[in-house]
Amino acid sequence: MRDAKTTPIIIAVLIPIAAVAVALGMVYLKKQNVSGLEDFSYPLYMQNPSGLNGNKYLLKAQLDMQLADLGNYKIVSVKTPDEMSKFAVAIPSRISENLITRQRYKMVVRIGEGGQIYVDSMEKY
Amino acid sequence: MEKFFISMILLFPVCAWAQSSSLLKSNSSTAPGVPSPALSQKSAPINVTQSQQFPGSGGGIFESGTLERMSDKVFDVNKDSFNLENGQLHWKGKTFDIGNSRLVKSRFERYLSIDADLSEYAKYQSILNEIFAQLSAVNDRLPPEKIRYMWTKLFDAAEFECDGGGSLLIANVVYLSMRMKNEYKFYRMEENRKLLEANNAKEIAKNQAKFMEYASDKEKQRFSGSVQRKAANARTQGTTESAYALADYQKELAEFATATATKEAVAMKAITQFQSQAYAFALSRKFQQAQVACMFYRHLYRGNAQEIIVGKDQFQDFFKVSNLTPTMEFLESFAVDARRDVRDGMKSVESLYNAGDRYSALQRLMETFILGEYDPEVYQFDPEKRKVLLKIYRNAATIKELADSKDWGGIEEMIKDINSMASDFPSREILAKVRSAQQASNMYVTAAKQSAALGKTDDVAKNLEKAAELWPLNPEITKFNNDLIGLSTGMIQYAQKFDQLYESGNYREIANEAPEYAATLRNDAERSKKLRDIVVKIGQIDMVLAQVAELEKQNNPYFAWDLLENARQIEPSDPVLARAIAKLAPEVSDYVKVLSDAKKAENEKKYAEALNYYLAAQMIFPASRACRLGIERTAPMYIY
Repeated sequence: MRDAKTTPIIIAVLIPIAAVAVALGMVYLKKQNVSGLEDFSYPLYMQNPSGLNGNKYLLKAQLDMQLADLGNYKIVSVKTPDEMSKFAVAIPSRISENLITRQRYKMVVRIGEGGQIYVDSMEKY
Repeated sequence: MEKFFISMILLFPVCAWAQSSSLLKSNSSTAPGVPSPALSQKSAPINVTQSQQFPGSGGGIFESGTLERMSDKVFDVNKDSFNLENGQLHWKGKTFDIGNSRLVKSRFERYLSIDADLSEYAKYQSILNEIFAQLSAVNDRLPPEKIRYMWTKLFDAAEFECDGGGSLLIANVVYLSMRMKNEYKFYRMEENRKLLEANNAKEIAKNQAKFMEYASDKEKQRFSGSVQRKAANARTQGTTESAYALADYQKELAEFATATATKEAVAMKAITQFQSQAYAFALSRKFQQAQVACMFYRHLYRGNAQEIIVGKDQFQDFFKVSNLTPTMEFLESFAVDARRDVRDGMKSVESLYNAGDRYSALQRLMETFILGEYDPEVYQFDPEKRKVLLKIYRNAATIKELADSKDWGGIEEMIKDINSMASDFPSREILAKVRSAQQASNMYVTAAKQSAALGKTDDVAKNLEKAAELWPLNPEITKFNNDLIGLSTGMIQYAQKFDQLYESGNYREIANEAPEYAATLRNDAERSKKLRDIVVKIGQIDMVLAQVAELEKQNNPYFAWDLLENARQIEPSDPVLARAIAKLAPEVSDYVKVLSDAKKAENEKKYAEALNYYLAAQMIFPASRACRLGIERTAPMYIY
C-alpha cells in the first residue's frame, strides 16, 4: 500500500512532465504539414542529395523557370520562399500543365536515387 | 711610247682612280649602276689629258687664267711631258733624263719630308747675288783679281747645304781654267822660244847656203875651160855643215810645231772641261750652277772660245733648232729661262697654298720640282708647308692603294682627311664612284638576302660573290655572313628548343619567341603549323587576361572568373592563366566551390546533383556562362 504522503509528490512531478510532453507534442504537431510530411530542407539536401533517397517532403517553393522538357517530366528550377536558394525539381507532365512562373506552390516531393527531386503533387498557396 | 703629263707623276694615284672610273663607265652597261670588277685593275699607261682626269674642274686643274698662264710658264700641259718608261722630261722642246717615275716620286717625297734649315738661306742668296752682279755681262772687262775673288766666293757658297755642292764643282773648273791659263802662258813662251830657235836655225842654214853659193861661184870663175876640168875642181867644203844646219832648222821647226800643239791642247783641255761641266749642270737641271758656270766661262774665255765644242751635235739635238751655233751664252740663257720658270712655279705654289688650294699647290710643286729639283727656290720652300703637302700626297697615294683593293669605306675616310687639308681636292668625283660601287655591292647583298629568304642557296652564293667583287670589305657582307651562320646554328637550336617546350606544354615560352621561331622554322611545315596553333591559343588567352584585368578593375570578379574558366578550356596549362586564376580564386571562392562541386558531380554523372550545384552557383553569379552551359548540359540528363 502506497504511502499517502508520496502520492502528492508523484503527482506534482508528473504534472510538469506531462506539461512538457504536451508542449513537445504540440511543437511536433506544429511542424507536421497538413499531409503529415516533413518540410524539405535545402541545406540538408545539398549536404547529401542521394542520402535522402526515398524520403518524401513537403516543399514550399516558387517556380523559377523551366530548364528542360523531358516529355513525361519537366525539369523546373524553383526557389525557396526566401529566394536564397534555387534547385531543380522534376514535375510530371500530368500535373505541370498550368505551371505559372513565380507562383508559389506547395509540393509533395520525393527524393530519387540520384538525388532527383520528383514532385508527386502540387498546389498553389 | 706612252706618256703621262708632268702632273700625272704627282697625281698618279688619283689618275689611276680616274682611269678606274672610266672603266667603271665602260662596264656599267652590263649592269646599270654596278661597277665591274675591272674597277680596281692597275692603271694601264694611257694618254690622259688634265681635263679628262678632273672633269669637275672645267678646263683643267687651273683655278684661274692667271694661274694657268703662270703654270704654263713652267709646263705646257699640251706639250711638256714625262716619259714613265725612260724617265725623260720634255720641257719646252728640251729633253732631260731624270730617272724613272718611282725614283722621281721617292725624291719628291724625300724633298717634302726633309726638314730644311732655311736660316742661312738669305746669306747664301746674298753671296750668289754678289757673284751674279759681278759676273754679269755689263762687267765686260773684269780684272783677273776680281774673277779670282768671285772664285773664292764660290767656296763660301758651297758651305751652305742648299747649294748642294754645286758651287764647289764650279770653283774646281774655274780653278782648273785659271791653272790651264798659266800653263797656256808657259807653253806659249815655249812656243815663242822654239820659234826663235827655229828662226835662228833657219838663218844659219840660210847663211850656210849663201856661203856655199858664193864659194861655188868663185870656183867657177877660177877654173874656166872645159866641162871636165870644172867638174874635177868642184868645191865640196861646207856641204856637210850646210846639211847639218838644215837639219837643225828642221828640228827646231818640229819642236816649234810641238810647242804650238801643246799650247793649243792645254787651252782646248781647259775649255772642254769647263764646257763639259756647264753642260752637265744644264742636263742635270742644276740651272743655277749652269748659269754661274757660264758667267765665269764668259769672263775666263772671251771671243772665239764662246762656241760650244763639247757635245756640239748633242747640244743641237738638245735644243732641236736647225742651223744653231751652240754657244755658252745660249746655254746660259737657257739656264736663266729655266730658273725663271722655276721661280714662277714656286710663286704659283705659294699663292695656291695660301689661298687654301693645297691640292693644286701640290700639283704645281711637283711640276716645279721636276724641273727645278736642285734649284734653291724649290729648296727654300717652307718645310712646314711641305709637311702639309706631304700628308696630302701620301693620302692621295693611299686612296690609290685603297681603290686598288676596293676599300671604298677607307677611301671615304681618307677623302675626309684630305678635304680637311685641301678643299680643292676632287673628292666629289671620287666619292660618286665610291657611292656607285658601294650601292651596287649593297644591291647584291640585298639580293642575297632575298635569295636566302627563299631558300635559294645557289643564288645567295652568286650574289654574295658579286657583292664581294665590287666591295670586298662591304660590312653588309660580313653582317650577312654572320647572320647566315647564326641562322643555321639558330635553326637547329630553335628546332630542338621548340620540340622540348612543345613536349612539356610550355606554349607560353614558345609564344614569347614566336617571331624567332617563325623565322627559323619557316621551312619546317610541321613545326610551323604547331607554332601557328600555339600563337593563336596564347593570343586568345592573352585577350581574355586583358579582359579579366579590366573586369577586376570594375570589381566584377565573378565575371572575370567566368572568362578565366573559358580561357582555361583554350589552354589549361598556360602558366600565366594559372597565375591569374590563382590570384582571383580567393575572391570568388564560394562560387568556385559550388561550381567545382557541380563539375565534379557532372563528371560523376550525378546530373541531378550537378544541375542543383549549377543552379546554386548561378544564384551567386546569375550571368555565369559556365553555369548556364552546365545547366543546359545537365538539365536534360536530370532523370537518368
